[in-house]
Order: sequence, then C-alpha cells, then structure tokens
Amino acid sequence: MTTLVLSCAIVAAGLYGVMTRRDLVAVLASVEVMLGGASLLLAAYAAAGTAPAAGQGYALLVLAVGAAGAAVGIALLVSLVRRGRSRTDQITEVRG
Amino acid sequence: MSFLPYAPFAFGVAAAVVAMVFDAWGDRRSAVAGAVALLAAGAAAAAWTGTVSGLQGEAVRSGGSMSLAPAACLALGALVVAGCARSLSTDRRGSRIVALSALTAASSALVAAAGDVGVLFLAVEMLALCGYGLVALGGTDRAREAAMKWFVQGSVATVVFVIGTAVLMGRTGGSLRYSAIAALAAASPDVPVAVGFVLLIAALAFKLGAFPMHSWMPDAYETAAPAAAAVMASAGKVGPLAAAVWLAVAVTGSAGSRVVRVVAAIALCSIVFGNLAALRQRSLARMLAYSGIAQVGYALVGVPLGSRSSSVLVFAVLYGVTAAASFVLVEALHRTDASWDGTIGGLAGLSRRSPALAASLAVIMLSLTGIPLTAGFWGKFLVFAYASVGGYRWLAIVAVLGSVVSFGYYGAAIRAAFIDDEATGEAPDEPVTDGVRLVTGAVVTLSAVIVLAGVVPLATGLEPALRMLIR
Repeated sequence: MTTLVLSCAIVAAGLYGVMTRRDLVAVLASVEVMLGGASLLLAAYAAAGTAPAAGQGYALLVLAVGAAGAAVGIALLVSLVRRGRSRTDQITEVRG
Repeated sequence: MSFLPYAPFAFGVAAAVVAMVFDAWGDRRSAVAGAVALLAAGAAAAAWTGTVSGLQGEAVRSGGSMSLAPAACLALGALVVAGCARSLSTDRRGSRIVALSALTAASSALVAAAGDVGVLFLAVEMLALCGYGLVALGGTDRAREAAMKWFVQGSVATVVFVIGTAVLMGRTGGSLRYSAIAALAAASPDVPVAVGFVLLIAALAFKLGAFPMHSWMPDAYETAAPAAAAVMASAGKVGPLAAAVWLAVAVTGSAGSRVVRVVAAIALCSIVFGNLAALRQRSLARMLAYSGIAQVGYALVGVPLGSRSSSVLVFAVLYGVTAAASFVLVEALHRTDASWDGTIGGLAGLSRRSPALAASLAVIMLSLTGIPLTAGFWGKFLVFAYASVGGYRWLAIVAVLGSVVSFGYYGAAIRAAFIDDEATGEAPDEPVTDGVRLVTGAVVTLSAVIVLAGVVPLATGLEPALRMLIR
C-alpha cells in the first residue's frame, strides 16, 4: 500500500512537471520521473505476486525501454537547442 | 522452441540493418533495394506461418487470421519504400527513412502478433520511437518541433501503458501472457481488471491517434517526408488495431462491458471530431491526417463485437493499402510539380497536367469515403454490418453519417483535381523524369489494387474473399 501511494505520488509529480515546466530539459526530466514512478508500481506489484522474478524482469525491461526513449528525446532536444529553441514557448509553430 | 514464428520480424529488423549498412557505404540504391527485398520476404514468411498449423511461439502468436495483420504490416512497408524508391535513394536522409520505415513495419507486425503484454509493450515502444525519428527526419524546424511534441505526449502514453500493465500483473500474480490475462478477465470481473484493460487500450488509442489522443497526428503527417507518413499511416496503424481487437476479445464478463463502453465512446468521438476537423483543412496531408482520426474511429466501431471483431482486421488492411496509396500520391504530387504548396486548392488542373495521378486520386478518395467498387467499401460494409447486428446499431448509424460527411472533404479534393481551373494560368511543364514515372506507377498500381479489391468480391461473392483473408 505504501509503495502504491508513493509511486502514484511520483507519477503525479512527474505529470505536474510535464504540464507546467517551460524548459524542455525539465520537461524531459519530468517524463523520466513519471516513468520511474510507473516502474516502481510494476516492481511493487511483482514483488507482492506469486512470480516475483518475472515481474521484476518486466520492471527492468521498462527501465531499458525508458533509457532508449530518453536517448531519442535528448537527440530531439539537441537538434532543437542548436536552433536556439530550448523552451516550450519557443516551439509553437505547429498547431496540433 | 522453434525460431519460425519469429522469422517475419527478424526479416523486418534485418531490412533496417541492411539499409543502414549500405548507407554507411554510401550506396543508397542498394539500401532501398535490400530493405524492400527483406521486407517482402518478411511478409511472405508471415503469410506462410499463417498456413502452417501447430507453430506457436513463446511470446508471439501465429497461424490463421493471426498472421494476416503482421503480413500486411510488412507488405505495406515494402510497398511504400518501393513506391518512393527514387526520392529515398536520392535524398541524403533517404536511407535513414528506409531503415526506420522497415523497423516501423516490423514493430507494428510484432504489436499485432504479440502473445504477452511485455512483448506488446516492447513492440509499441519500438513503433513509437521509430515514429519520432521518422518525423524528425522531415528535416525542417517544424518537423523537429512536431517530433518533440509527439515525444512528450507519447512518453505520457508510455507511462499509462506501464501503469495498466502493473495493475494487470498485480491481479495475475506475475504472468503477463495473454492466456493468463484472458483467464483472469474471465475469472475475476472486478474493477481493477477493467481499469488495467482501459489503461492499455488508452495507450494503444494514443498510438492510433484516436480522439482525444490525436493532437500529434496532423503535425506529424504534415511535417514528415511523405514516404515516412505513408508508413506511419498504413503499416503503423494495422498493428495497434489488431492488438486492440485482441484486448477487447480477451476481456469478457462485467469487466468486458465496462471496457467495450469506453472503446465505443472513443470510436464515437473520433468519428465526430475527425470528420468535423477534416472539413476545415486546406493542406492535403493535414486533411488525410484528420480523416485518419475518423478512419480509426470506424475501425474501433468493430472492436467491441467479440468474435465478430475480426472484421476490424479486414478493415485495417484495406484502409492500410488506401492510406499508403494516399501518402505515396502526396509524394508523387510533390515530384511532378515542385511548386505545389501542399494545399487541396493547389490540385486545380491536375486532371490536365497528369491524368493518371488525377484518376488515382479519385479512386483513393472514393475508397476512403467507402464508395462501392473500391476496397474501402468492403471494410466499412463488414464493420458496420456486424456492428448493427451485434448490438451497436447506434454506433453504426453514426459511422455511416460520418462517412457521408467525409465526402465533403474527400470530394473537395476530387473537385479540385477535375473541375477547378488553375488560378494562375498554365503551370510550367516539369520534365517527366524516371523518378516521376516510378512514383506515378506506384500510385497507379496501388489504385488498381484498390479497385480490384473492390470488384473481385462482387464476382466471387464475399465469402471466398473473406476466407482468403481470415482462415
């Protein structure tokens, strides 16, 4: 129960950061915080289950995928920063 | 353990590796040719595993209708790369687009075939990461910006997926095999199971670009190279749709009724929003992207139908072919007229400049609308017919009304190409090069396939055609 509350709090803190921070580096860091919270939830549920080893394997898989994602995110960030755009209010050309 | 069920995906990944290796040697033509050959081999392998019974991988499912979507993903990847071969082999970024397109096709095929939520997660993430790269390779500032925005939103979807996985794992006690999860859904129809499934479906809906998780799609399709958009819109959609079908089939009982209600609501909103937003677009690529939101909505209409939901696979494959054709058409239009600004109004006079492209445009737009004698008709016919006998008549009616509205913007493109006069006199005649001929040929071939797929079931009856697709 404690880990459940803790991981939800971490995910919520990350989501808050993604939505409010203006610096793209901080946004990417907040994304990683969210992913960390979700991995913690996975590991906690796995530890409580009948096959903890399998569950912890999945948690490690999530971390590895998160690292790969961060590499892509940082590559995108560098390509934007090189053109002098490092804040969310500077990337408003496309409308969504 | 047999390696055979994994062979199609290995071919897809090998296609990407071969493209990168040839790129390192500076031989971009061989990069394209090698990738097309290996993707086609992967599609053939996937189709072949569908005919062999008793092949069952540890983490991927194969056999029968399970192999339809993976084969279609890989074949669509091969078709698009072959169709845009000339621009991909002359552009500096071409080989990287080819490699990421091959990985997109392979990972989408794996999304469709996954037999374990862990594998599904890995495949969905691979699909997403390739997508960000493909958009960023558009090369403009707007493309990088669109990729960054998609990345941040996509990361939130990843977190949603992980939380959904954790909730389901908490109930199964550690296993994430589809069989264990389906057994869980049948045995304990409680709220946490429904929440887990809804979170997984929400994450897949983001990859599909369904409302309200759609905002990345128009930017991504507009700013990416047309070849990249073609792969994302065709191969990249078939896999997640197949996975969504599995999720909806697996979850039964009272948890199931909660989940299918959510899917039906997503379908309804996607159809209404996609069609209304597409009506307002001036850019052809943006219009195709918004209409893609509506098309995903039509496909999701069939997802809550239990065992009848395999009609969604047929719809997805037929839509995939049409979507691939539509973005290869955008590529062809850019190549035949370098001064085209990408707008629908800019298509004026196309029927005089390039009758073949104008005719193909008409076929593609009619197929996307769902007019009989085209492939798109049969996809919509099956999904809507099954929905109306399966207890979702209201949703089928909304979907048909949406299709009627959609002729407003699909028809506008046809009108611009055939009826509207050019505002600024004759466009300067571009010299017809081999590259133009190749990509025009690809569009015409895909349009011919669309017409054939629309006509053949009339001659043979629907059942033999369906048996070919779903065994």
